[in-house]
Amino acid sequence: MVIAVLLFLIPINAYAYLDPGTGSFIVQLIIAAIAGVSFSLKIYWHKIKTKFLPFLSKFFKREKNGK
Amino acid sequence: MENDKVGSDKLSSSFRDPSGFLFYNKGVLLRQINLFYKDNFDSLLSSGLHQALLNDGFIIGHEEVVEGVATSEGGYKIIKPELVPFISYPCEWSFSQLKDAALLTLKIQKKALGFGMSLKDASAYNIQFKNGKPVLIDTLSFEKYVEGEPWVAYKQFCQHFLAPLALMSYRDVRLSQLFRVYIDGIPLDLASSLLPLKTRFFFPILSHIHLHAKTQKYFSDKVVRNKKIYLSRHGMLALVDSMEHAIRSLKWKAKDTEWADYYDKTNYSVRGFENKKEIISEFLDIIKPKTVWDLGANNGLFSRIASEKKIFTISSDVDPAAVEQNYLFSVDKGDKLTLPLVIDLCNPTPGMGWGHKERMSLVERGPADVLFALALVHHLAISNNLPFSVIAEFFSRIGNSLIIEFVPKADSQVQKLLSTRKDVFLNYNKESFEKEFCQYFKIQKIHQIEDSNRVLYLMDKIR
Repeated sequence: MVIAVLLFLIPINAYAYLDPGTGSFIVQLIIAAIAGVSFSLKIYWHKIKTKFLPFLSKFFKREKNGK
Repeated sequence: MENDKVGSDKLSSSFRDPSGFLFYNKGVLLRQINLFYKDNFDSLLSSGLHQALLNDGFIIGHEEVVEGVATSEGGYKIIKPELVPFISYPCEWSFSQLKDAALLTLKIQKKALGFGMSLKDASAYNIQFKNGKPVLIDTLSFEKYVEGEPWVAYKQFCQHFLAPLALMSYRDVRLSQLFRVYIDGIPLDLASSLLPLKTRFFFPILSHIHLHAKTQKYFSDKVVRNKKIYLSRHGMLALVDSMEHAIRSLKWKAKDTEWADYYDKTNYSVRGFENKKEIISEFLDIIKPKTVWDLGANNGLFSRIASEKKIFTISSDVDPAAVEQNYLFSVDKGDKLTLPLVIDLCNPTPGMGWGHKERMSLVERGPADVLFALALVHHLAISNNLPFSVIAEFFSRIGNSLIIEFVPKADSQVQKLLSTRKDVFLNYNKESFEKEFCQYFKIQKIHQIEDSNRVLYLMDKIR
């Protein structure tokens, strides 16, 4: 189905020789588009963690010591 | 060296690459870098990528040869690459060896993108094992990264790493042997047809193998116009991350195989087992070899007698589970000198590729200083019907010395082999064994193993 959608998006000519690289290039676009979303989330989550983790660990340490 | 001489000593493994080639000069392995690759090679060094990869131990080093060797036509520079102790091939690797090689390739690609470069080759043959770890040996695998362009080595990575690992993990670990048939990795349509249905419900395998195979087929007779293919840098990183996730998710556990618990079932007493180790150690001290090939090494227990003496040891076995255990143990213990490999001695790796010369046969990669053939001869002679004379002849081609164990017919292990077949092995005895091996070797030492009917020999090849 994804390939069928792509047919409308990418202009294609048919030639009588093999071009096995084209299929590999197209599939990279499809995967990058889908995996790109989760990859972005992963990066932002990592950024949030590195920004807030020292603060949170300090906070909890203080809480613990307070007790 | 004469210019035309450079061409004539080219190694067949590198003739496909227009960027350069490997050749021997007075027995020293050198690599010519062609003018064609000048910009990329200079960028590799000037960008700092090469140094960063060296610092991480991801790539072999090299030194530039400025005197004594002229480049041939189209040449830019000659470099002397750092050597690896043994060239092994993916059909000889266990599951985790191939997985570690795959993860290294992806780590290198990620690092390269950070330095404005990208891998143009992702061949499993470019990875070798050095000091117990995978390392990239092809300095000419990089090109400048141009944002928007897809990864040219993506298909090769899928064929050389993801497809075989998925087949080994989901179907059968022995499918790594497809590397022997397909020199450029496993075709994705074949991998797709062999993988079980459940892999279609796991996005990384669905996309990188099944969908990839379909798009390859669909676009095989079509060309995309107007450079419409644009893959952003973020997309490229997402693609590599997705592949890394796919590779990490693939697992295989070595269990329930013929040899996996072999040493729990041997008929040695504790004293006999220890004495066998002592004799092997004594023999090694006499020969002082630089290389050992342990044939039928199982999980490498005896190989480690050699590696503990700082001897580089190929620890080979036909059983992928035993080799997997051996590799994982070596990694865990930091054993840098044992290289476990899957090798079927009755059908060892042949010369492969164009003219049988692109990949070397096992024999071409020898000879070893010493062969170990411990508790092996009865399997070759009885299970595989190989006469002593042909075993001795083959061993004389791959080793200069031999530490070999003779297991007599009265031994319970031999009796086990004979229990399911008619005993037609009338010449299977110590006298016949010694007579046939003495056609090719000279016996230096004979030791009866204590508390056992088995005998260990130290033999030197007759030159």
